[in-house]
Amino acid sequence: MIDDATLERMLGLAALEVEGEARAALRRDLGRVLDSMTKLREAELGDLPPTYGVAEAARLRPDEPTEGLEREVALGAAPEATDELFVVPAVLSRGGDQ
Amino acid sequence: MTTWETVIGLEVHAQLATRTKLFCGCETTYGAAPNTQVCPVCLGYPGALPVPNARAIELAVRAGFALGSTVSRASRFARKSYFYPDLPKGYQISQMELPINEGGAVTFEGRTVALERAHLEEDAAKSTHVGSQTRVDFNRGGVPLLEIVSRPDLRSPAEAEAYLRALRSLLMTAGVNDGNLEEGSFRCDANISLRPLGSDVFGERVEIKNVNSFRFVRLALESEIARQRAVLQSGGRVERETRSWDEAAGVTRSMRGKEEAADYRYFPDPDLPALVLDEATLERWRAEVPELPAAREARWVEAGLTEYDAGVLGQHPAVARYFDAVCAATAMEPKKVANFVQGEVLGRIGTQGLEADVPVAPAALAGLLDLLAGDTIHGQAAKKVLGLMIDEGLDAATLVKREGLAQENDAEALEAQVRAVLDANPAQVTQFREGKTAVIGYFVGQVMKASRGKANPKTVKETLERLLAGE
Amino acid sequence: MTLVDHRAAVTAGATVRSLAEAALERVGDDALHAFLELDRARILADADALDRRRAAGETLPLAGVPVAIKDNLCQRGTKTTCGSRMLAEWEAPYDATVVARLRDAGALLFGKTNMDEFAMGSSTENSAFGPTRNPKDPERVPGGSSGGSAAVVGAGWVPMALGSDTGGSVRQPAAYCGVHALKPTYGRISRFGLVAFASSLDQVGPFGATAADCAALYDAIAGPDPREATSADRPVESGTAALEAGVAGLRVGVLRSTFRQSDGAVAQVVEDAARKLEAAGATLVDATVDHLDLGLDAYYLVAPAEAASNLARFDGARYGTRVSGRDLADTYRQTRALFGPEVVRRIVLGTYALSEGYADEAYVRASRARTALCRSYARTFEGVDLLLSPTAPTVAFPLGARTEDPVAMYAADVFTVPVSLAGLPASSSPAGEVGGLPVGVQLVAPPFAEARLFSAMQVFDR
Repeated sequence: MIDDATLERMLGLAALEVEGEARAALRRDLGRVLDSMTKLREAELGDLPPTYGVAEAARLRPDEPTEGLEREVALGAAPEATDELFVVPAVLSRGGDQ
Repeated sequence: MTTWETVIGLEVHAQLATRTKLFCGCETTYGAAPNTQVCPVCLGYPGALPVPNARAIELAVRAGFALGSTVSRASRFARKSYFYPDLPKGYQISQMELPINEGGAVTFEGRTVALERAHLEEDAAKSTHVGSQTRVDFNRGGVPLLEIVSRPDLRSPAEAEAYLRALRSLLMTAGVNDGNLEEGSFRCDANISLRPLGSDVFGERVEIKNVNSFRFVRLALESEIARQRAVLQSGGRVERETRSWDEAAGVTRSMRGKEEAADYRYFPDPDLPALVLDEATLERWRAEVPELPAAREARWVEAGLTEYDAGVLGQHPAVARYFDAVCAATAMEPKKVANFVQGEVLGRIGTQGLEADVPVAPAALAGLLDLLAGDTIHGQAAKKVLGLMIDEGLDAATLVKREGLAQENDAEALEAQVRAVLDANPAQVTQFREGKTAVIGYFVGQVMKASRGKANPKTVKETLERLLAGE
Repeated sequence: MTLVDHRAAVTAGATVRSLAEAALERVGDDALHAFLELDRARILADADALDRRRAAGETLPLAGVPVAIKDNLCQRGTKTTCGSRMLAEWEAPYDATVVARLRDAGALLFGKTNMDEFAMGSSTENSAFGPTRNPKDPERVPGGSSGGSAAVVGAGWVPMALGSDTGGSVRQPAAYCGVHALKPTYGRISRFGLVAFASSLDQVGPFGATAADCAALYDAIAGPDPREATSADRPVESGTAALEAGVAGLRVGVLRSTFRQSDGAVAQVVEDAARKLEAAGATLVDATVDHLDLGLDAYYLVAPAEAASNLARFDGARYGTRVSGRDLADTYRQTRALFGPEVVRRIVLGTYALSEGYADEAYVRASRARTALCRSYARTFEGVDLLLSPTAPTVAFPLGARTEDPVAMYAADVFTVPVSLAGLPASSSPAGEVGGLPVGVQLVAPPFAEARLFSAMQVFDR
């Protein structure tokens, strides 16, 4: 089970908006998935440490410049840009028009 | 009325002096045209992967040894998640559970401030707000930073400022940071709270973000202390928030208002396995830590400098190295060298010019100081020669000779000159004998003038005293 | 046509272009909807370029053989959509390492294949561009998430394709479509340019019509990559060279518990496959892996947690599609509404698994179960050289049968996800059929023993 307040918090953290029928379905599906995880909940894991990945030690790279993206290419891929900068809507909403 | 105790903790973001970013090969050159130092990795493109910069790891470890931290044999990067335009992946790669350096301390003015940690992380991009737009330059995004977190052990704004100066000098001496405040290579966030004196519970803390000079840190903290004290004394509550320093108004201002506790969902970055460092490499780096400011300043004090002199000369590693080099090359005692370097050399290039190359090489200055110490020239002449050395780049001995500045040390010749001056000024001689002994300065001046500045002022004064007393 | 046939044809004088034209003809109008992009003009131009390289005397290990590419692998000059509206128009400005290696080896990059959105699914029904159909029965799913790649090989259109496997996404569709596939040891094949789903699990994997095709593709792409921090710094044993080594003397552990969890007919076919290995000289022993039953639960917390983080970059700011809202936060939400329901489900599940108050019991606990699994596998491999199980508990299910029930959908991965959590190499090979539908047999090997898998996979082609 996952209550609506928790779902709302998760959606907020993930920058998602799900409303109406879809939201009810999402809540139901998440509840089912979480409820199905009885084996993990009941497992005796003692004091086992977590494993976050199985890769060996990190491969490093030398401090040497490599070719990047041309600015025109980088900005050209963006939904909105000036000649020099990426552009997104202002962090804060324009006052009064909501 | 309650007496309040100030509790300050500082978070410094020091840029590691690498050529390229922490996880990609884009250069870190300051001042490049916007978005010209970017690639799929630092723009957070789909499919791009981070690979750690070996040099950044090395510099972080060297800093750790310089700070006396416990350097981790296996640290990990973690993701800190939030959405913001300056954060291309929706998370910042930082370190949480297993930082590369734990603990450590910064020592200054006889005080030691303990550190929580000094961990690696990538810088955010630079965003500017223009009307209804936020514009982003990703050149800075992904630049390697060492975040140095102090314990909340600082008790005054002045102490916070001294800590920052000492930390900066230490990181520069260790060769890990260029200390450039204007370019944002060394930035500071301050956490500050007040509590009743004697309490062992912390008050609600306010974070002051990104104050870009040491003086402003002190001013911002002073202003914030006054604000918090006023709130508390009127029975109010200080709210946990982030504030910024308004330089023009001289006050801190609320940036985001009251915030909900953020949930950053830290977890180990699965793209980056543990950073495993072998003992041999660590030992080598540890052995290569240079003499650090605290030890250097103690050595100077031992050699006769005052704590103040040592502090001034130790503020910038270039100046410290310069001072040591001059001392090694001259017969003059260190305290006098310190006076001359501070008064004449730094004074001439300006104390703000600490970063600049000193225009006279240590050996050349030592040559001048030797002439001074050996009574070949006197202090006034030395100042004049230094000016000429800077302008013309010639050595001291050549200039002294050319300018005829070698002083007259011959006792008989000086006595003759002194007698001539006394003979020419009977009225002043009478004044002296009537008890106006200060007039001796007048005589010295006259002798110096007559010798065109070459007379040894010390010998002149001694001769005057002897002759005036005897006659 | 296998690589062997293709090479023979080329040696006999056929041009890469003529073989490419034949392959395009086989695909026709892509009745399976297996391709998201099939640019005939570009493919033929590339074929001509390969013919020129051959004419100039260059030796091309892959001789211009057509290889289809899953649409979550970046390839210059094509879109890389990940089966998502979010990237519907996005063209990567760089090649994934595996794609670059295929170009070097002289492969003909032959279209981008359909997939579950961001590789999240077991049926390819989660593609924003419509499902792919199973080549053996168009009313059934091809499996997923690499369903398009499995289908094009299963249909005989091309001999090889690249997929990606996070929890079974090459093995399970290979089983459903009757082809070979390999999920390598974690770190063995570069992930650079693979659009991430769950970084600690994702691996690129080769599909082949035969074990030999699969091995040839593996040989072309495996090995260390300086652009990936998790890339294993180990030399690669040739899969092709291992094909004829056989299985004589190998101890094959049969995971009985997985047979009991499978449809009876599926279990029987896999049992027969085990006997094939025995007949080829392997010794069969019953084996167990403790905590195997924790795999599915642990996987469906770990993978979504990493996915939630990996997909945070899709904010409409620097690339891809933006849906403008009234302010920045609203723009983020509107843009991210382009994600399909399964992706949203996993992002929310993953956010939950990492969030304050839940992380210890969700993500961290799942990661501790992962430790238990890793250790269990290591213990089991002290006594056996390979582990054998069905790849999936059933044959391919009908389109639409499980779309309403995520728990049932996730169950299709029950035998594959534990292997992924442990980072072990595993293969799926055609074991036989049930009612005309293919059944796959999964083999699992200790870390970096891919060559041993190819030796065993080859037995199923005899």
